Amino acid sequence: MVSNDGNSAFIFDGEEPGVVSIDRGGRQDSETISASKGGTLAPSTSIDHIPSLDEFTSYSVTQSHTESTAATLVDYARSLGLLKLSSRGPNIAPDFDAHTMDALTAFSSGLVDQIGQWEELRGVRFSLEVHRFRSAEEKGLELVRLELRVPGAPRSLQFELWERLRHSADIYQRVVSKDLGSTLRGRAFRTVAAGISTAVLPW
Amino acid sequence: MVDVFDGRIFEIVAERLRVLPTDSDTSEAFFRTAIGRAYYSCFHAYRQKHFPSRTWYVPRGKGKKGKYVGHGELRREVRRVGLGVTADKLDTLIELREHADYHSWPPSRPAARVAPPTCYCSWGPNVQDNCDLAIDLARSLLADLDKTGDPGGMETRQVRGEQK
Repeated sequence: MVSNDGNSAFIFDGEEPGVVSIDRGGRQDSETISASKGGTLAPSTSIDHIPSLDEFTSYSVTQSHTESTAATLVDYARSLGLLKLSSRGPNIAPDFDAHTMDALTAFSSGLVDQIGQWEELRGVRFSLEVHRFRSAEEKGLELVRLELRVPGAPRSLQFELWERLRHSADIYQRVVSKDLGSTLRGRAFRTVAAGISTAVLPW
Repeated sequence: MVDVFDGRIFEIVAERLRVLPTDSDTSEAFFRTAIGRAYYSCFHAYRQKHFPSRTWYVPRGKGKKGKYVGHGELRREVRRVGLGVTADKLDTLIELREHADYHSWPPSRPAARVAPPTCYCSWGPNVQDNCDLAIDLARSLLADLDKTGDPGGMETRQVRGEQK
């Protein structure tokens, strides 16, 4: 769990009254929580092995993590009702056809559940969004973008989470493709899935 | 031997543009321009790496393949050779650059319904944050290229004074 790297800080979910809010510079409205990064969470699942949905669901929670001060503080804050575990989204832009939209919803909904279990994001506000980017100057340059938005995430953590998001998306993409099979949604998903581009953004 | 311009130096220009703004009236233009230079530093470096004999071109018709390379072809090649997150970072830089150069409106969130013109670009509410991210992405992408042995990196490092 990282809260500070330079002068930026995570923003804890602020939907509930009394929630702790940390802004840039580490100031908070009601209570001070200083956090540092916990154990390494490098994924160990081989890309060559396509796990079942059940295996994938248990993947994140079975990782061995070093207990960190940050995690303890977040647990304490949560026990006081100060924090709310926040998984937002997925939010999918409306410019996809119905089958692709359904398939992307299935894909990103499962993925957001996995992301919600990442140690670094416990109690932290984040959202997962999917949109299509069309180049204004080069016809045919289109991207399907899968964005994990973690407001205030310091750069080092942003890039670290990016590696994990890419890895998880690659694995879960195969799971969903296998699950949807040769249905219309499955075919629509495979059309876009191969070119999905990921990003982790600090806003 | 032809003295070829090293496009990686655009990254240094981007860094200098970032610190130039002194008033709020013009700062956004500096930041947006810096984002463009950050992207083109990578475009030139990766084009040199993957398509050393080809020049830049925006495809408008048939018959030009094999001689020119556009933004889309370059990003596809970076992804094709298996550089997962590197390709994603380049895509993000492409999107930031296009928003910086072409979109004068703020992007919408997917759940929002707003009147056009609109977009869903990966663009944050603070333009300097976008600029900072673009430059950090460019640095990361150029560093990735250095790891794989890019001859163009030497000259840029000499300009920086990092290596004699």
